[in-house]
Amino acid sequence: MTASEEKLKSELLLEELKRRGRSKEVVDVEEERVKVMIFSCGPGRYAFLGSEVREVLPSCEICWVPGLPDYLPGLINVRGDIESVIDVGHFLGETRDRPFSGLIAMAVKGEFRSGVMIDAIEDVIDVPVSAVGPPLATLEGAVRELVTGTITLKGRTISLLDVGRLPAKVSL
Amino acid sequence: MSEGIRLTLLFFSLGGVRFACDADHAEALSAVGAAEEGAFRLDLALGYPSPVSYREPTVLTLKGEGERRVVIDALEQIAEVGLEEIRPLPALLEPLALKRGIWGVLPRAGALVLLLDLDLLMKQRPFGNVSNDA
Repeated sequence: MTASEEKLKSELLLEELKRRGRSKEVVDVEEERVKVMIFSCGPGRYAFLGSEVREVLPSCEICWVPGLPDYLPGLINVRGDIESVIDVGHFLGETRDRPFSGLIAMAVKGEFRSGVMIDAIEDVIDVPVSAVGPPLATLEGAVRELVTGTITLKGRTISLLDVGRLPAKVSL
Repeated sequence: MSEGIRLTLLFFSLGGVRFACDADHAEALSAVGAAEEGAFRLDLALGYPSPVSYREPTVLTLKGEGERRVVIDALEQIAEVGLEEIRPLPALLEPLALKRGIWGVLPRAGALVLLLDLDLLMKQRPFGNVSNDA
C-alpha cells in the first residue's frame, strides 16, 4: 500500500466519529416516544396519552340530565356539538370536597368521545415507550380496569389511564 | 324526512333544568286545581334525586286516549324551531336518557334545553313513580 492509499489516522478517526454519529441517529429514531398529559384528579395524579385527548376546555356549565348516574354529571356544549361528561374521579376513588371547578379534557378513542372532568393539568411531556411500565399490582377494582401502565416521574409513580376502557365502565 | 321541518315547542323549567316538549302533543294548558293531586309527577318520573318544589305549576293535558295530565313548572314560552337546530344526545348516555323520554338537545340562549317526549315518558313510567332501574 502506498502512502497516498493509506488513510491518515485523523481520517480514520473522523470516519469512526461519523459512523458513531449515524449509529446514534438510528438509535434516536428507533426510540419511540409518546406524549402524555399528566393531570390531577382529587389528590391523585394520573395521565392520559396525548393522542387520546383532543383538547382541554376550561370549566364550563354542565347541563344536568335527569336519571343519569353520578359519574355522568351531564352535557356540555362544545362549539355547537353536544358532548357527555364523565366524572372519572368516581372510578378512581377520588372524592371532591367542593363543587367541580376544574377542566374538561375531551377524550377521544375510536368511536368513543366524551368530556372527562379533571382538576388541573400538571404537565405534558414526551416519554419513551420503554419508560411506560405495567400497572401496579396493588391496584384494585375499577381503577385497575382503567389503568394501562405506569410512568415514574420525579420519583412519583403515575398511573396511565386508557381512554378506550372508559366506555365499558359507563355502559348503561 | 325532508329538510325544512319545524317543530312547535313548549318550553318550561323544572328544578332549574330547562325542557321543551312538542306542543302538538298538548291538548290544553290550565291552572292547577284541586283535581290535580293525582296528576303525573314529572320530577319523580324523570328521576330527580329529591322531589321538586313547583314554583309556577301548570297542568298540561296530553292528546290521545284517556285523560293524561302532567304538571309542569315555570312555563316559559311556545316557540317554533327548525329540526336542524336540534342536536342528538351523545351516544354514551342516549340509551338512559331515552328511558326518561329525553330524545334531543336544543342549544338556546347560551343554555341547553332537553327535549322531552311526554308520550314516551308516560309509556315507560305510567305512574310517574321513581324506581331505581337506571
